[in-house]
Amino acid sequence: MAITPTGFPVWVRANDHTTYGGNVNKIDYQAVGPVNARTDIGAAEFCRATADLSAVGKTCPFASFSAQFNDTVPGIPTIASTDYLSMAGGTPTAVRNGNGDVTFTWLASYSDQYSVLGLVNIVHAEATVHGVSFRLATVELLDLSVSGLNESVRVRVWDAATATAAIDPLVSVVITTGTV
Amino acid sequence: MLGGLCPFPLRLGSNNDADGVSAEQYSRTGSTLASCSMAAPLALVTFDTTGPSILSYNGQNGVGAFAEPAIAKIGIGVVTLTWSPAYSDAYETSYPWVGRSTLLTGHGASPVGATATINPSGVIQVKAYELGVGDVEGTFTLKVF
Repeated sequence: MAITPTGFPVWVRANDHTTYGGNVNKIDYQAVGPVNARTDIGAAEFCRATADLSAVGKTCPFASFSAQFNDTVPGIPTIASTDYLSMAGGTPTAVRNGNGDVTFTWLASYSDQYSVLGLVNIVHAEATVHGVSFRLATVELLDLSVSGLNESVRVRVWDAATATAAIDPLVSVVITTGTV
Repeated sequence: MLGGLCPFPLRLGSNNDADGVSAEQYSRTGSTLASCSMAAPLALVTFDTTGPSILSYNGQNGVGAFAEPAIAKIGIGVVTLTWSPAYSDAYETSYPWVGRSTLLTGHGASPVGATATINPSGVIQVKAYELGVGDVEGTFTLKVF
């Protein structure tokens, strides 16, 4: 019978050390620690791992990628699959709004390796422009589905000298989810 | 293996994937966790300089309003973010909290950006600007390492 893990997928940001089996009162059986460090894991070691895992799970990005905007064509941006890193897999869909202006949209939820569903709520986004030109990117969090949770990020790229839309920028985007 | 008949310390080893944790599997877990811990952000804050107010917070000390830093307004588009000098983990082990690196991204439909300065005590001062305009109020995401 397949097991259902405790807690939620990490991008829901609801897990703490107890989700992973940590407990402030956890002790080694009969107060006897590991007999052999090569074969045993003590309660103190396990508790440290659960606290650290809980901590990094709160700030880890949901996804990061680089997108080559295609304004000259014009067309939707290109996201190389090798550039896309995500907790949940699945590249976003992209819509070109205009020069240097693209909206990326993820699904409302994804499942983890154990088929546990986790809702997506994007609460932070970052964008950095590549290249030697002086360019600036801004982001906008959007709830296009009007679900109360943000599943989209609009990225605009500007040429700094003219404060007008940049053409064909290459942009790195990082998004982080929050609680739902 | 992990139940009442086999309490801590865990004894590594298993005959198959379902009934235990092998030394190789747990070693990989430890290595992965250590790598992530070294590169993971300390905190992310999305805030508005107008009030100022914090809109969302993810930190290794918690997610949500209870864990947020204090935000204070210094001038137009200039705010400071101040965390406690130390935080405790779930087991009340306390350790200093000091940001060393920052990344900033502006939000919205205008070409806004911001710069950050980390003072020796760990207070981060953010100064916002808009291309062609100068000092402005705005919304920003700050990532701290």
